[in-house]
Amino acid sequence: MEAQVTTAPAGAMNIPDQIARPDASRNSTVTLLDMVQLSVRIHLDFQRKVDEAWRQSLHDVMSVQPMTGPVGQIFTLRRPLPPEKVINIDPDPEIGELFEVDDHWMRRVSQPQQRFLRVTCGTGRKFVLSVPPWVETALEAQAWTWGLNEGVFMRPEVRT
Amino acid sequence: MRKFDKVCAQGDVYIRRCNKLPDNVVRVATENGVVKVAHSETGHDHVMDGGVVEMFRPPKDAPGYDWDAWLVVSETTSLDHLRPHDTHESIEFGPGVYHVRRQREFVPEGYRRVED
Repeated sequence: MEAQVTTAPAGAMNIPDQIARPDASRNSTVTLLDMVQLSVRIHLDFQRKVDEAWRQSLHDVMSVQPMTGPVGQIFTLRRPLPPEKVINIDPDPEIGELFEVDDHWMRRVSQPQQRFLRVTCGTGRKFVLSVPPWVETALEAQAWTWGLNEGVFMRPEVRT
Repeated sequence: MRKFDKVCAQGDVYIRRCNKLPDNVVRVATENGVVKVAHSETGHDHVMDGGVVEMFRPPKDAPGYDWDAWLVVSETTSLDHLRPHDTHESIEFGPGVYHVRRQREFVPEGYRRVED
C-alpha cells in the first residue's frame, strides 16, 4: 500500500529544515487521513531524535519529495499503516477520541504502544495529539494536555 | 465574537477565570501595545490589548514559566488570534483575573508544547 499526502494546507508553507526535511512538528496539517498525518509526525519527530540506525529504518518506511506547487511536501508511505485500537470516545469531539497504535517499527523504542487523542479544534480542523500511555479516557487525556488531572479539568464553555 | 463565563480555549491556549494573582509572579512587558498571551514562532500569536490587560508569569527559573500565565483585565476586551488562515475566532473577556495554560503533548522524554 502506498499513500501520498500533502501536509500543508493551501496558502501555508511547510518550511523545510536545514537539510531539506519538511518541518511537520509545527504546521497546521491538513491531511487526507488522520493516521497518515500521525505517521508523518512520528517519523519526523524520531528522525530528529534518534540514531542513524533508526534513520535508516525511516528511509525504508517513507520517502519525501518536494512538490512542484507551493503547497508543501509529498510523503509517500511504503508500508501499510498500523491499525489503531479505540480506547474511549467522548461525546464531545473537542474532547476527542483516545486510541492506541502498536506498530512494529515502533518496537525499537521503549514504548511501542503509543496512545493518541484525536480532537476537533474550534476551527473545525482535526488534530492528533500524542498522550501518555497511562491515560484511560479521552477526558483524562484532554485534561493531561493542559497539565491538569481529570478531576480538576473543566470543559471549556467556548472553544475557538 | 464568542463570550464565556468561566473557562474557554482558543487553539492551544486554555483559560480559566480565577480569584486572584498568585504570589511571586512577574509582570510581562507589552510589545507594540499588545500582550502576547501565547507566542508563536511563526508569528501567529494570541494577543490582547496591552492598554487594558496586564500579563504575569512565574519567574524565569521557576516551574511553570513556559506553561502558565495570568491575565488581569481591567476593561472588556478580546483575545485575538493573528493568523490569516484557519483563524481561531476572537473571544470576549470581561474584567477580572484569568489563569492561562498552554497545551502540551507527550514525547518519550516527557512532554513538549503543542504548536498550533
